[in-house]
Amino acid sequence: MTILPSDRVAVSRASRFRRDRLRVGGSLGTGSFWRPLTVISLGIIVVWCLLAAFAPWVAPYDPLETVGDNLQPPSGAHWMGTDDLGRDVLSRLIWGSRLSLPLAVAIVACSLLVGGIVGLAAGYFGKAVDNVAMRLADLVLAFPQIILAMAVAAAFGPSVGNAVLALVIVSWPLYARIIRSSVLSVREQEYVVAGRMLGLPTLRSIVKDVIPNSAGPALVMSTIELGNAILMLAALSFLGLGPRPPAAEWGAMIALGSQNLGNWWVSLFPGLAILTIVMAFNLLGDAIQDHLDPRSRNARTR
Amino acid sequence: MRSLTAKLAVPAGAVALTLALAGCAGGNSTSNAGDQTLTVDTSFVVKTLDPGTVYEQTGNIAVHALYDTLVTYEGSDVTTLQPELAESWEQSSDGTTWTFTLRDDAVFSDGAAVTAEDAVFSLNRLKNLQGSASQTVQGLDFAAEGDDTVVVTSATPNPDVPVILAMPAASVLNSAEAKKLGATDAEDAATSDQIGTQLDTASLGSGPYVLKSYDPSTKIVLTANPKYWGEQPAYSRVVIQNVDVQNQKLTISKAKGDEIALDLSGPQAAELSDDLQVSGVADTSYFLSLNQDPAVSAVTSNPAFIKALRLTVDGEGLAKLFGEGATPAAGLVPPAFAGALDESENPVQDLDGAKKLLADAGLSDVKVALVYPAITYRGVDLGTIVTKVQQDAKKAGIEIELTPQPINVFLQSQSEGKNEINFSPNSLNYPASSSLVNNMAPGASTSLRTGWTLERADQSAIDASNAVTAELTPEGRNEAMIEWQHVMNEVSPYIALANNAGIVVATSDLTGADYTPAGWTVDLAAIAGK
Repeated sequence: MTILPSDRVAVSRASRFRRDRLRVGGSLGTGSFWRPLTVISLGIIVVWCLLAAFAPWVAPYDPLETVGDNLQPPSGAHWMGTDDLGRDVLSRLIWGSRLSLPLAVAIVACSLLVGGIVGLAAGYFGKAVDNVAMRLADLVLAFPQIILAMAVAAAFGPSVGNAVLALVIVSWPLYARIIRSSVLSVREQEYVVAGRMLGLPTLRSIVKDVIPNSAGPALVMSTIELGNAILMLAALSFLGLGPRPPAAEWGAMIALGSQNLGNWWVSLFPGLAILTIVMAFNLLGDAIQDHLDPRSRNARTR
Repeated sequence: MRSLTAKLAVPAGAVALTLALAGCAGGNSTSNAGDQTLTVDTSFVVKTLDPGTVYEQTGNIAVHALYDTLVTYEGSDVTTLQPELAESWEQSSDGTTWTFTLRDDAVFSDGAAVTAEDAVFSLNRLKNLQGSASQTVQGLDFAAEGDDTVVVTSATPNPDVPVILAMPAASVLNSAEAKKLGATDAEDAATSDQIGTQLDTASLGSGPYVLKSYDPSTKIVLTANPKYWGEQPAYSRVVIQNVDVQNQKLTISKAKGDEIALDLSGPQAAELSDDLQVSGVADTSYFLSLNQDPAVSAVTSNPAFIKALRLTVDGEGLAKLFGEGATPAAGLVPPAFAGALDESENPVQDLDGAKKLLADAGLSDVKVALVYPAITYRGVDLGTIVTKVQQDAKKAGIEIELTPQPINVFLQSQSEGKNEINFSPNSLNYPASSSLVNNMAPGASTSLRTGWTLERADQSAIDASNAVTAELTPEGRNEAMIEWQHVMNEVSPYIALANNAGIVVATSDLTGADYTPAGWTVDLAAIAGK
């Protein structure tokens, strides 16, 4: 069972623990959270976020315009070469982060919201609600995630909104399950029972007692899933089910280059972009998990 | 750079696999060409080797080598018919009857003479089997006069008869042997023909090769026909092997023996080493069709908009995207075929002219949707092509929204006729350019899908289309096609963009490995060592 940050284990080191968890910008080197890999991951994420935010100023060219000869290998003028239409790969890569990052956050946020509500209801109310919600989740989970997403996106037609919708539809059950299992243990805790006995209405009990104490695992999951969302979005675009061309999207860029792998730069750089950001989110997620779960944190430090 | 990219491009497993394939197939490169094996790399699209039902590319290649047709084409040229089983042919003055006189020395691989009866049996069987290729011979009647004369009649004048009879599906079978195996040319042949897959194990033709073995997933092996009535082919054995498109470039680049590859795309062919020979002919045109139904779009049905969009097309730039052998489109007929417009007539991009047309017509800030199939055709992603069209149109102030659709969805939406602009490739069913008129004249099938009815069409387009069909001879029709295209470039809702080439890549010491748009891709029997 998941160990929750707010109960027993945290008591002995309560003060420091709480500070670290809440202040991500805390001083370096004070705790096990700031291992080199974590710092590098955070660095990569920050760099990508900055690139996305300042893309119009950072990108050397317009990502949609032909700015050079077709399929030029990397050179001084085009650091990552040009694609089939003579568009600058570096510029498209930078602009691509403007799609991938916000969309990944949107996918995870929506999934967390939907999955959270379903999971809370299932865990808190139990019985029929639990049965119906969890069988529904099982139904979705029974399909391979990417196949289901493809089917949904193909049915709705290719566009940014539909790709996000498709990915939300396939990923909410993960959150629902995690939240449900936390809620199941939290709702039996004495303070929740006591609150109910004292006449706290259901909604207040959920908001005040249950949510704050069962959200931790889902937040860890979200961080890891951010990477996964980027990956799945790229996969859908690769298959032609993502944003419409000529949008600069990493998956679509890889698909374009895959027609002729001899022009390696067309596919390689967007591939590296996905690799770095997905790895960074995964490592960060691991680090947060280790940090919030003192058992594994202690195991690592020793 | 080239060797580095090749190494990076293909995973180690694929390298091992292709080397193994090349190893077992390339084989003995001795000096005596007569004992040599020719290896053909192609991505298999084959369902049958029965001439009556063959339709797919790989099947057509093999059938063309196993069987003979009455007439044929040589090399890449599909403008002049050549004699094969027929030594001469002539058209009646009213255009409805064609008479073919057979040569007397042609024999099947079992030594039996090829007679008019065999030809009529084969052609009737093709017609009555009602397979995919049967469509082209509907409306034709075949009759034998004596042993050496085949008479083909058509209810309406049909100058394309010899062209149709050159396609692999019109191959002549040994009718006596075929009947023994259960084949029939009866009208109910579609249900009563009992030959099944027997023609996939042994061929019954008079062609330069006979079938040795057939495995629809791995390879087809042909050996020279010892009783062939013509000149023996240079290679005694031909192995057609299934190599997927991505691996063909590597396989042919590393080929040790005599080898050809059939599915490389234009951009890939452009990167090959100079040791390899590339033969390509631009035979597939790509065009936009703009919906003429004002209820669907007030913009695309506006003649001024069509003219303006036509002026934004950068044919040279598009041809560059298609790579080796591709050309800008002067008209709707690709340059491989008789009746194509000369390249001096290639349109020139005129953005200012386009802007002026739009301004004069009061069209400002126009936005139109372009629907296209999300596929890779001949190694070129169609999305790349339409993105270029979009870029160029934008320079003249036309905003195009691209909508990719899976191919089946696209075909469905295209036939419903509700799309503003469609984009698709177009190949001819048989190499007669006037066949385009059957589909693209006002009120014809393709035109109706874009709302171009007889009522909405300009009279000049109707007249030009009628002028083509009024011609009774192939020469006359090809001539009329020139004028037809001029008119179509003025008043039709079709905008020809560029022509893409089919490509055959051959190792350096081969001759005769020419790509042909005639339907069989390459004539295997014409390939020889230098």
